[in-house]
Amino acid sequence: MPVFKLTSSDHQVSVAKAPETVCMVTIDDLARGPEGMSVITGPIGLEIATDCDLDAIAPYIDQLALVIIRFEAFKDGRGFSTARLLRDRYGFLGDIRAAGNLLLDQIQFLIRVGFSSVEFDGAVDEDGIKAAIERFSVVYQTAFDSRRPIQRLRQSATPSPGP
Amino acid sequence: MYVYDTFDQTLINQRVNEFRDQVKRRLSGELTEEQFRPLRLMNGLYLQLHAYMLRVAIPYGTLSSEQMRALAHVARTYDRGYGHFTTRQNIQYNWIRLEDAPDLLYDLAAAQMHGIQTSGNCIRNVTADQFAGATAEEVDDPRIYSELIRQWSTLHPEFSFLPRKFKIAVTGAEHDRAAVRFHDIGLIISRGDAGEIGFEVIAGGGMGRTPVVGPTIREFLPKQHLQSYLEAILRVYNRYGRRDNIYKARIKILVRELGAEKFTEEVEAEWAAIDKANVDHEPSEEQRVREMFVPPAFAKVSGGVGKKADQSPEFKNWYRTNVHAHKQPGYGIVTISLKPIGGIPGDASAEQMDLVADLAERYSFGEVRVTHEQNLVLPHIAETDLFALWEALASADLATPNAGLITDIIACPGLDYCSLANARSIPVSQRISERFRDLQRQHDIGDLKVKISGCINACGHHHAGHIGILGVDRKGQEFYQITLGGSGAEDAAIGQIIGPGFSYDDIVDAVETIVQVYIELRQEGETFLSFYRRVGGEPFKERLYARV
Amino acid sequence: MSQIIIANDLRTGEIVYFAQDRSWTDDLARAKRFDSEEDAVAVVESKEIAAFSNTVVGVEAIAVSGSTAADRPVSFRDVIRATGPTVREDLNRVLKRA
Repeated sequence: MPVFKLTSSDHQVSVAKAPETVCMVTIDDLARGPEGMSVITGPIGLEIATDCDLDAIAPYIDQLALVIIRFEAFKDGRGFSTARLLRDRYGFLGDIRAAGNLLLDQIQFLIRVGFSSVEFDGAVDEDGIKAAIERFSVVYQTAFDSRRPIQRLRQSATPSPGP
Repeated sequence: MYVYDTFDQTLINQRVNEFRDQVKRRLSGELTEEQFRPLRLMNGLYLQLHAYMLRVAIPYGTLSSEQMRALAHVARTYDRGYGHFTTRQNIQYNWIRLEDAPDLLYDLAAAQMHGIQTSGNCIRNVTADQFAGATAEEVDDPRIYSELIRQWSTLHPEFSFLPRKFKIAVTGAEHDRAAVRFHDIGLIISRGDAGEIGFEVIAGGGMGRTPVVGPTIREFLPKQHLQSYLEAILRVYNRYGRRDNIYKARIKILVRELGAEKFTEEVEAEWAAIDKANVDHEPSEEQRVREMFVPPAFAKVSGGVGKKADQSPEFKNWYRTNVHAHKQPGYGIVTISLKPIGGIPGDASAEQMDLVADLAERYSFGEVRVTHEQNLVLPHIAETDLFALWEALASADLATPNAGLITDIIACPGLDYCSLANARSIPVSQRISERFRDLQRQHDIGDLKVKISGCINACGHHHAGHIGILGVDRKGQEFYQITLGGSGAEDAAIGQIIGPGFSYDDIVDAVETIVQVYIELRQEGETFLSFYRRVGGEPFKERLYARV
Repeated sequence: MSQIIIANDLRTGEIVYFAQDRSWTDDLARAKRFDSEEDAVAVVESKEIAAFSNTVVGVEAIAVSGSTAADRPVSFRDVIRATGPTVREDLNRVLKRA
């Protein structure tokens, strides 16, 4: 399935098919250190489950260019907190990819909690992703993304009351 | 009352468009039922026994007259002329067509209403004391904080796929009308040492299969940290709540398995790490919301209900139970009973909704409330208007003088509508109501809350009933288990099963036997609940299960 | 015990039954009878029914007494689904049809 890179700046998210150039390793590879990965050149990535104990991978985070969070079921919301913590708490700056059983309708949530690429199990096209991303022009909460929540927009606007 | 600005309205409108698109994708086959189901649920659309059911959110149980008219419009245009007010202060429509649902939500959005997060494993519509802003006993108005929670929780990117549903209730009063200890999170507005406002935070309460009176996990949370603390609780729950078993997935199980102390430690550690300034509300936002809940311009009225009222025994009966003290001298808080004798608890016709909207406009500053006991409230009525109001309500069968009495029964939709139910609830409540129709007898019995659920999910709050009734299926027959001594108020307690259940035919006699035992053995001035707490279940058991 | 197949219409939510002519009907009397639960469940799980996934939802086999058109579902839940809420006779499907 194609991977879509989601690059977000302010309220614009660009979508592009990403070429796969990252070499995936396991936590055991990482634990063995440089000699365990001597054949690998270039960026490396690690796949984790939605309920991954992030402390266990924390020592290796700086080596990783990519973390894939695998959703076995779209209802498994743990992946959203895991991504958020990987960004906020562990300071991971690389690519966080949501992969697996996901709904197109979840994509804005994924971006908001810190995912930067997505790989759907099912067939999804770029136009569909763009439409889902642009669905909501306003948000109520602060999250990982840079979108300003409505309460802060209100401070710099004098909106007319609703109908 | 809270009024949407263009930001709120934009979000609601975009949500309608999203749902229209989702329905289109489902009808075209692009989405499977499995994929569509969680999406429709998060807009409050269920599939029930007979048809789709739509649950419309009434945030913290507060409605304007225009919104009540919009609800009547939906009942008339998209349903069969009626709706059902629920124990979650929401309204449900029972006969909705999926293909109509986008238009229905479009109409509702024009009245600043929606079905967002009235179902699904997300943060549900927040509930609050129905007397908010009208009762003298409150520390601060729970609607202000409820609105802040509504905004924070709406389409929350991290907490929309929780292990299970999540319900938050807020009260600002000593007398708990919001059942805060039976919620996933309960907030009691209180004052800190320096008089500052904050919350006592309760977590892990609930009903259902495993009823729990929620423990306090924080004695005092300063109000400015409302969202960051909620976020800490939700994150701990989202990560560690059980997902392997639907019956063990609520936060109450996590709190119980970890222990309240350990759970609190986890929450506090998470909270300490959160960038609070980024997550919490701006003081200016609280101020903006607060200004929408300032008390209305009460008239200086002399008080008194007038001579005609004084001479009407019917009015006086109604006044006795359905009018509550208001913080403003000369005003009262009116409970409109949706429990006519033999009627369906919580049901209202489109005509009744329109009338209530009109009366609210004329007499109550355009405000209506919905209670978790499935009644309506007009919060600000001048005493001098009470008689005229009562007459108007009576003309539409809305003046049953039974608020808080034995015929003011909570009942879930049960097997008559609900696909989860094992037994009927509504006809049981109707028969109990008929049996105790004599008002003098109701007054003699006094404060007695009967609550009926048609299955273990406990939407009818039977665990919190002074007399709780739970419908079960026994070999294809409806059977009813009785619990005694529950309470959803500040003295929260879970009712205890009294013994073997009763058949559909026998359940009303059993309730009558219980009432009879109380009447015969009570001490002067003793309520049913305090009587039960004094004597326990034995005297009831003896009589209920006496060998003939 | 005889069986029939019940579902909700996807678009309207209304109760429908799998009919003798292998379409869907809101008339219980026209529902196709199966001799055994196995037969009915086999059809529920068949490709034929799967092909209706954008027409109906919640397809299941239910027991009915006897084998004539005048029969009714065995479980009380299914009787209520066939007729309507017991507390609203004005909305009774069978009375309305008659």
